[in-house]
Order: sequence, then structure tokens, then C-alpha cells
Amino acid sequence: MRIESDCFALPKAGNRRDEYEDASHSSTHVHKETTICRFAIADGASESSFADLWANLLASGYCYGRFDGKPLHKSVSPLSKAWQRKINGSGRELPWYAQEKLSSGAFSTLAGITFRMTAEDGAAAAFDAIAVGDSCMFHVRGDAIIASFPLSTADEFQHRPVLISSNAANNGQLKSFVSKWSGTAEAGDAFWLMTDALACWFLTRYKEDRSSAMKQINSLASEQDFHHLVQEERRRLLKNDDVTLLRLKLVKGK
Amino acid sequence: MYSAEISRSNPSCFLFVIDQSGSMSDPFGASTKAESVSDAINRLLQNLVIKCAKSEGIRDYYHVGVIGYGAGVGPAFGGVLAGKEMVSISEIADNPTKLDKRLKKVPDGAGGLVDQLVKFPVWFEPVANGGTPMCEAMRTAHTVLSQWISEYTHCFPPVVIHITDGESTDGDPTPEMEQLRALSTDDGQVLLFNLHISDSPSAAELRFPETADALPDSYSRVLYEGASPLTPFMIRVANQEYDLNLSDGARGFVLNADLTLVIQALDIGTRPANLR
Repeated sequence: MRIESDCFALPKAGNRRDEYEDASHSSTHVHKETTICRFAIADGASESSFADLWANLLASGYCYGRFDGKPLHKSVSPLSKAWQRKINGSGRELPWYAQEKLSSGAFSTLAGITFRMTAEDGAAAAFDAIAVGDSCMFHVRGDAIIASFPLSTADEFQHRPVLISSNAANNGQLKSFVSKWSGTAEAGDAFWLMTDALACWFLTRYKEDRSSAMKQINSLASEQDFHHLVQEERRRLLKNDDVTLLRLKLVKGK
Repeated sequence: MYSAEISRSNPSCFLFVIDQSGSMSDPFGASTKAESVSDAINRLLQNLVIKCAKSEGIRDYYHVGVIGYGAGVGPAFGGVLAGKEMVSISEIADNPTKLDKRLKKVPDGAGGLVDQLVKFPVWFEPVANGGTPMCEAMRTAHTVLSQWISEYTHCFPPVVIHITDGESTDGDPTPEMEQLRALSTDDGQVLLFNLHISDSPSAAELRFPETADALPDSYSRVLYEGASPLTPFMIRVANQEYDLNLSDGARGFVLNADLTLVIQALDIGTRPANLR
């Protein structure tokens, strides 16, 4: 089995491309006879600074296997140091407000999923996933969501989620806010990873009209399609925020 | 209502109205009322700036004005901003009159707190001079905000933060406060918050009360009655993030307490629950 993926992303309307603070990443490693495919999205919190850098470090860190086995706050520690190094490396003297903001750290969600596939698996693959915050993933079969993680209704999206901070002092309570999920997927299944605004919109649309909501995501073929969809829906149900969609499809064969 | 997006293309506005009258030189705790007021406004401005700080600098989500009232009534900025009625938040950020150093308690990651030396920007020094023309101050605020609203009709309505010891010398400010609150954009009415610095012996710290029952004197009652009800979003933030347990009737009034919540509870994007 193999996984086809495509990714769509757009900044908040009114913001420049370089002000986009979500992140996405993917990786494939072959370990002995197992192929490990990892995918992650992250959403840097808009009220923190250098959040794009932090979201990128978390998403790529997940895909490089830095979150395997250890408690999350420990896995995050080397990434915090990398975040600090990159900012200090710029060499410029920061104004008072930037210094104050830096001491609070950056904040980001993380949703990552790992598929483990061996030659004997045939038409099924085991997966496990973690999430902190309100970035979501949907396990899709045919034209139905068969699982939604970690949130499953539009009402659950709040403005104040507990997020992963680049400052260890803010991660004291993190352990209780890490959601975990595992299961098995079949060839033909799809997984859609979405940051909060898009996920909330999708759940609302799905409740309103399931088949048309599925079609809206399934039929996206290009960046232009995504751009058009987001622009249209921002006039209706989609909150103006950075949006990221990572669309995965499990396909038979090598 | 109160749902307009606050962004650089749709900014909102904060107007600070500060009592600088002679009575502000009265002792208050370890200092004077005037010192408490300047501390409060410096802290609020600092919070506002930090809320808008991003890696590339300050995003101008807000315009800010400050009206002082005492010997006179008018714009109260010092330094290079002197005489200006309304400036962008980035101008505020870049123009404190000085940077003090203060100790701040920060979490140590192990459930405790440690002292950290931080820069404390100062825009306002304590001033205490003249009467307390609160009515005139509210009328001036009305003029300033009418002008702002005519330019930003669709934006989130202005937030007025009024800091005083409450003893108006030019009459009962109730009608003026009412007129100020009656101003509105398409998104809602002006939000008036009153911060009362009171040295009344029975004045205990009070935040966003739902009734006037615990208020110590008539000055407090006037300020309580004059304040806007908190918006549903502010009540949600107060309860979720500040553990305040407020219900729908909560008013934008505090007695000898911090108004930081008002600044934090305006939505410019995701604010993590663990960002303090």
C-alpha cells in the first residue's frame, strides 16, 4: 500500500503570504521491512510571535520521529532550543515589546499521524495519531467521515485551546491535553488533516449537506480550486484565518 | 453585535480617559492615587502593545487616544506624541517616554514562580492638579469618538477605559456617560469601562460586579451605573481564563483592580489558554 498526498494552504485574507502561520510536513522512512509514513499539520497561535517558526518545528519534528515514545513535553524541549537559537541567530537587538513577547514563547497546535505498513499487510495499514489543540483529522471512507479526531462537532472549537509552547514553563499542564488515537485503515480510505477554521467549517458543512461537503473537498484538483473555495466560503461560514488542508489517500500497490 | 473582525484593515480603537485632578495626590496604599493611575494605564498600554506584537513588529489592530482631565481637559500624551488625539498602536509601542526595569513573577515550569527583570515602558507620569471635570472629559471623549466612528463605521466599536477616584467636580457625569455609550458603529455601541481607585475604608477589590450591592459609596455607584455590560465574549474569556464566574449582568466596572481582562478579551486571533 502507498499513500498519495496533496497539500493546500492559504493565509488569512488581508495578510501576506509570509504572514501565514500554519505549517504542514510529511516524511517516509523505511525501517527494516516497515515503511513509516508521517504527516503533520500545526497552527501557530496568532497572539504569539515567531509562531510560524514554532509551527514548522513541531510539524517537521513530528515527521522526523522526534515524538515517538517519550512524553510530549520532553520531545518538545530540543525543539524549543532550536526555536530560541534561530531567533537569537538573527543578531538584531529586539525592541522592548518583542523581548517581552519572546519570553512568553510561541504557541502552536499539532496534529500528526503515522502509518506503519509492511508487505504482508496487504490492503490494511495500522496508524496512530496525536493531537494538541484544535487542528483536526478526519478518517474518510466512501462519502462518510468514519472518525474525527480530536474534535467532532463545530461547537467544540473555542478561541482558547491549550497549545504547545516553545517556553517549557507554559507546558506544565500539557500532558492532560494530548489526545491520542490509533486504528487500522483500508486501501481506498482517505485522511484529511485541517487546521481549525477549515475543520470547523467542514464539520458545519457536513452536518448541513454531507454529500456536497465531501464533494467540495474531494473535487479540489489545484491551488486555484482551493483558493476559490476558501474565498467563497469566507463570505459564508468559514472564519477568516490561515487555512491548511493535507489530503491523504491510501492506495493499493507500491 | 461585537463580532466585527479586528484586523489591520478593520482596526478598533481604545480611548483612555484619565483623572489627573488634585485629589489624585491623596495617599493610596504605599503610594498615591496618581501613581496608581499612571501605573494602571502604563500596564494597560503595555498589554495592548504586546497583544499586537508579532515577529516583524507591531500590527496596527488598534488606534489609541488618551484624554487627561484635571486643570484642563485634552490629549495627555507626552513626548513626541504630545497634543495628538489618536495614534496607531505602533506609534505607542515605539514612543514610551522611558523604559524602567521591574521585577516580574513568571512561572518556573515546576508549578512555582521566579522573579525576572523586565523592561517596564512608561508613557505617563503621575499628574495631580486642579478639579475633576469628569462631565467635560466625557463630552471630549464623545467628540473624539464621533470623529473616529465616522471614519470606521463598520469596525468593532471603540472601547473607553476611564480611570478615576470618582469625585466629579462639574456635576453628575451620568448623562454624559450615557451619551458616550450611545455612540455606535454598525457592530455595536461604544463600550465604557470604569476603573475606580477608591481609598474608602470599605472599598475592597471588586471586579465586574453584577449588582451595586457591594459598592462602598455614591462615586462607585455612579461609575458602576455608567459602565457598559460586558460582551458575551468577554464574559466567556473572564470565566474560562480568569476563573471569575461572571454571569450576563456583569458590568465593565472594577474597584481597585486590574482591567487587563478587557484588553485580553478582544479577539484578534487565537490566544492560547496557557499564554499568560
